[in-house]
Amino acid sequence: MINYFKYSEDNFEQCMKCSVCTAYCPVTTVNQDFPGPKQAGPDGERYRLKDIKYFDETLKYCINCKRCEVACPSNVKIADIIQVVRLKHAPKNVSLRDQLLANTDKVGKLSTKASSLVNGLLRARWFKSALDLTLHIDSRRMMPLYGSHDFERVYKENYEKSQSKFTTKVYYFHGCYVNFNYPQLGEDLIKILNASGIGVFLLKDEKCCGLPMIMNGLTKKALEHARNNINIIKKVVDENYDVLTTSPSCTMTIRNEYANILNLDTEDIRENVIMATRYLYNLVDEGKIKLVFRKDFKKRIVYHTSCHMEKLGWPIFSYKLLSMIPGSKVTMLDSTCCGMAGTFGYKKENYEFAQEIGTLLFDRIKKSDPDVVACDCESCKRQIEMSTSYTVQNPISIIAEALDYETTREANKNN
Amino acid sequence: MKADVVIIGGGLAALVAGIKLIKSGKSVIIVSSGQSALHFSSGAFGLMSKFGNEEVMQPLQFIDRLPNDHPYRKISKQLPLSIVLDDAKQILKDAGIELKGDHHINHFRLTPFGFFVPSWLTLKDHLTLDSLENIPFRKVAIIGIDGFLDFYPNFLAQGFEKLGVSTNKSSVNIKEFNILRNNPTEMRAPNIARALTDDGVRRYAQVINNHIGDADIAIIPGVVGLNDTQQIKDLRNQVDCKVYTVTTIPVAVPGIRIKILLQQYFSDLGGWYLMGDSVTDGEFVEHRLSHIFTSNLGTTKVSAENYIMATGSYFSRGIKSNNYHVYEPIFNLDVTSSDNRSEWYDRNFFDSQPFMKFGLKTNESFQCYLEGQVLENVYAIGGILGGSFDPLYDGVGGGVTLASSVYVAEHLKDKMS
Repeated sequence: MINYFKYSEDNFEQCMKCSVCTAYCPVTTVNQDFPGPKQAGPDGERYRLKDIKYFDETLKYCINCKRCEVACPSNVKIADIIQVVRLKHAPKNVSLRDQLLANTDKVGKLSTKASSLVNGLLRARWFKSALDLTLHIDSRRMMPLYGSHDFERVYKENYEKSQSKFTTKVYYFHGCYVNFNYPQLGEDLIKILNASGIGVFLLKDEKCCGLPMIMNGLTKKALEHARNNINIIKKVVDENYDVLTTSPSCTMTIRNEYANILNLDTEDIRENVIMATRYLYNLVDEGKIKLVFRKDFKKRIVYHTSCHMEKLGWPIFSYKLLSMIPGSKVTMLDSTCCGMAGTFGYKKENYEFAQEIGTLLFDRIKKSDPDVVACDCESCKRQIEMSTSYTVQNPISIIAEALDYETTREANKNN
Repeated sequence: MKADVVIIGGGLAALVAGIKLIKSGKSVIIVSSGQSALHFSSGAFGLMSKFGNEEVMQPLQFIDRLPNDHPYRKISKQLPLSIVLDDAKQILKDAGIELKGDHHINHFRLTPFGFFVPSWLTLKDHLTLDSLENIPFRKVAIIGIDGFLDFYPNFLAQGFEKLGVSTNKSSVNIKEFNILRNNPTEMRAPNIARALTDDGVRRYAQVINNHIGDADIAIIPGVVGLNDTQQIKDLRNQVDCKVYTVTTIPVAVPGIRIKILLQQYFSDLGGWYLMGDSVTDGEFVEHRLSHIFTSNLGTTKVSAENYIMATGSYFSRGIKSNNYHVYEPIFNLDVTSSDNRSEWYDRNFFDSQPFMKFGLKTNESFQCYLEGQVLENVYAIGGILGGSFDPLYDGVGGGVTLASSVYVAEHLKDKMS
């Protein structure tokens, strides 16, 4: 018997073919080989459910920005539908290049061990040309550089011992970017939280969230990482601790993709995995902590909303937090994709698309000519810094720079 | 998180009320679950085109004859309706939306299917006529785009021929459109608009000029000017005769342009727009809504002094129906509808349909009801309103939305001062 009231979890029956999603898809206008979110998502799904021969290779052009889902008036999980079917039916042999790009943590660990060598190579024109020729990693791309010590080691050496003196305690899921490329961001967060009377602890055996693996077809690997992370997060959530993050994409992956794409149960942990900006804003808003800022800090800031931040719906927290700095003038840029989309922009075949998608954003930034661009996402940071002359900082780093530590510590000493 | 006013819903009603409230110094958060019905808008707003079965040209003359629960009637008891309508028009103008029209007398606008229907406000780049006699042009060039299926030259030609105007039909192409044709099902108006660079506009104007022939005016599909009015102005300057756009089948560029301009204006003024978020729950204390929760903000409470329901009608899921009831899905607020399903519809499809009149029950100040009790701080505006009016059949949808939004914002401004 047909059950008339049962809807799929991705809501695909609710699609009314209105095409609003297509009007907001950053890929459709630059790459006509991509059928567009409506066609690739719910429309194509009707055929694929009948027969998988309707599976279309061009689904790989979806960058999983989720802007279709945010725009959808009927709450259809369009990008989820596309990612799920891609993982199920994409070709099984993943290229060496995609494996290298997807394994951010393994590659990161090796690169950190020999960071000066790796950084030298990644800056050298001949090496980039070689990567371009052999692996099709575009040589025009600015490559990520690696720290000499990973964040976990920095934490162990400089911060771990002093954390237990705080009565309030949170955990931090740092992600690969903080660990291998930019430990400073993690340190910034610890400094802000410590000054507010909160101790920061790392999860035991954190693994890459798995998003690059999902996007590059490494299902088994993604599942293995997701299960590991759910377990270690659950352990601390069970003790009523929150897990903070500074990457919107890791956050979205843990909160949404583990359940919606990898079909894992995240009910117990989902609400406790939150961006540090949201955590801080709420504490200040509820009067539980006070942040006091330096009087000599003055900056005109424009805030760029990354796609996954938009999907989370949390740019309001970063904006309001930055607006608390008396010397800041924060303006929101109209939300649009930067084109980088994680590993997508590194691939030679996507370079032109990535830059064309980003044009609108680059123009808006140049027009507003700020002192600094604030953005929560590390991937946008790389793209914007490469494509414009402006510096991009995570809101947490801006707060850390503007904070008057001594007065803040004093104001929170009773916490 | 706190604001003076939280508006639930993110379309025309929400944005106009939000802008007016912010301008009077209130803080506003809009919660919008996906993009709004403005994406399906014709680019025109009707005030009233029918009173019963009577054709209406001067809407304000009918206000006193409307039933007591009609929004126009409610508003006009408190404020002169013409002031409210002028205020709405000014807000749209301030946002950069260029409209023509006057609430004293309707004009006629051209629909995608070649009909001329009464309208109050119409985008300046659309064709309007003051009357259907003495047409100020004799020949129209209807110029489509190769391979674009959401524009209907034959219907348009029929419409003009009925007025005694002759037409010539043609179709053009420029290189910017070639790439779109690789993916014919997605060759939709917004995608064409996004592919048009400034150079593209110049080339588009050139090929239009080559096809005007001996026509006095040209009609082209509404595929120019998604983000602002600049490109449409450039195009009109570069075409040798007067050129007008016609709204295409949705998703439609004129409506998106209205939405983008309103939202930008709202944000520039300091309003906050929570995109792609939906209200999941709320707590009522003594006939007041104390705070709400949204799916994205999770455990973070959002509280306000006043709340406005602007979630739209069935299409926007502001009200829903099942086999037995018509209901409001977020708080289950009281709805004006019959529980007798056979009274929901009229057998003649083209007659006014009773279900179109269903919506939230509100008092004279547009306050909502919950289980028969007035809610002191919850108001309703726009498509979600119930009452003795059929937005479609009476041609009052746009007018009711704009008038109720301005009126409630004005009311809240006084209430909170």
